[in-house]
Amino acid sequence: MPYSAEISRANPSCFVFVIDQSASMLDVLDPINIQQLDKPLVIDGRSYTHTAQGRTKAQAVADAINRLLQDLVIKCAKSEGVRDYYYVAVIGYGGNVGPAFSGALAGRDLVPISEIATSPARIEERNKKVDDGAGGLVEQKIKFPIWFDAVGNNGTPMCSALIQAHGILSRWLTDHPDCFPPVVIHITDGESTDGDPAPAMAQLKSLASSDGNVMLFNLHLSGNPNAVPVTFPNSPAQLPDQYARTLFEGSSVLTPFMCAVAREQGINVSEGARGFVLNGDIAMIIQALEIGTRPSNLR
Amino acid sequence: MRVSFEAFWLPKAGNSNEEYEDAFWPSERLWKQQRDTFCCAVADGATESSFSGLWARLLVQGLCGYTAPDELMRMLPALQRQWCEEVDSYPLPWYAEQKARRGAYAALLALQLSPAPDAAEALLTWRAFAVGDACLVQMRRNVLITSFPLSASEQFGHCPYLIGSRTEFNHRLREYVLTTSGVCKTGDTFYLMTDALACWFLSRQELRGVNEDPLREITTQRTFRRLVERERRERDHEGRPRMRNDDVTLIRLVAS
Repeated sequence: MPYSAEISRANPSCFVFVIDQSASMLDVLDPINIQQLDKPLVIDGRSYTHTAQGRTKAQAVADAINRLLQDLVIKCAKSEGVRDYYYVAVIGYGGNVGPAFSGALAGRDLVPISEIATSPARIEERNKKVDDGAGGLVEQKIKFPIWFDAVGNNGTPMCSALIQAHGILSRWLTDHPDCFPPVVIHITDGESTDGDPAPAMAQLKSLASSDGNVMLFNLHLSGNPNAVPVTFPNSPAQLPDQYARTLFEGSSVLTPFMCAVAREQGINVSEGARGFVLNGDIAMIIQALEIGTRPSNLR
Repeated sequence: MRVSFEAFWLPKAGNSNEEYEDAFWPSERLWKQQRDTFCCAVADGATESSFSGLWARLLVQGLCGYTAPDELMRMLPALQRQWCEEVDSYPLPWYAEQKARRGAYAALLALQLSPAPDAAEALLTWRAFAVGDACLVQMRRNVLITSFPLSASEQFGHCPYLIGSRTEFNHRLREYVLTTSGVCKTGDTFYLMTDALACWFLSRQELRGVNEDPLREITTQRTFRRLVERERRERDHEGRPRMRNDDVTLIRLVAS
């Protein structure tokens, strides 16, 4: 039965994050205070007509990746330390294509999760609302480790990045032929500048361990005014443009277990749902990877 | 009345004995000190939480002897405080601190045997309660007559409702506390099993019929280990291990 291999320290699995760091990622999501410029401004070959305030796509991506890495570390944490159930690579693409960790892990590709736990570039403090046990919420200060900073410059060499991920995973699968299939999480605004990414995505998904094919998830941060947030659709019908449709077609079909976890989280998934999210949250993917009994009261 | 007690356990393959996160109570020595009423419990700390072995041990020690849901709910806050105090006493790195804030979780199964009021009908009466997927099985002349709280292998999932070490994750606990009771005759055997072993046991019963006791061959910790290792290695018709790789615990009681 595919996607049933045990994930353990003796038989670890692998995560590869592929992150768009192109200039277009400096576009502001949900902009406020929009002001028209007297004349268009050209930066890195892109022409800008307005200024605006708000969080950029690059900042949203950095927050998403740091949160996913944090969730993955916590998932593998036990009382005695962090167990190496996963190895993780973060590949960025923009001005360069290559490893994108900040701090002590800069330049590294596959890093064991225990080393990620102990090597964030820095730890920030953020506020989080948590259950107070009496039906209310209280604000709590939590430590928020940063491994990956917001970056955006130059073009969008998406194909080169996917090919680099293919190389990393080919080597991993040679060494771990029976592992739970590796997961690739690709975050982009979708506008590749080095060709059609569909063949590179197909090649990536064709890689397999004895337990199944590599799973590719695409998180699309779209600035298209017609983009309606959608999570794990089974059809491209509602998608706003060709960029979104290409990423949808390139995404893996969710496994039955992943569908079950998505439903537990209140996400409405149908038969044939794809690992594609438009302007949404993908934190559920970490929960959908099973390393043992997970209490249903811990959501 | 005499009730013999044996306990067997094994950590998940690939883990050390120190990483075993099930728990059982009492020890054989303490069992022998019990008079008239006999109590025992098993707990299974959830893999995806930390300090769950500690929580499982606190639960079996603290709740062994109680079989009413109200008693469980009354005793729980003190055990939760004990868990928090112990965990808070360790200096923890950021990830262990955040994991501990989410609490530890465990399934719990407790059994109490008492003298029957009418000795002609039954040797003993018994009561049990369970939260989660640890299972009690009662065998009479090698025939399964009770399986609680689950009775079929397909009922075992990977995210049962468990007892949490932090109150904020236990809102619905009371509705998940299940109880049952019965009578015990001379020669009856009780098995208290954590989930991987219980699921395997019930699947064997489903395959071969109820007139078989697949745990009868267990006489020592060594024979238990041999059986578990063999069943983890062997594959079912779908190619999955016949017994899931997990910590396993068995308590066997025989009334005579």
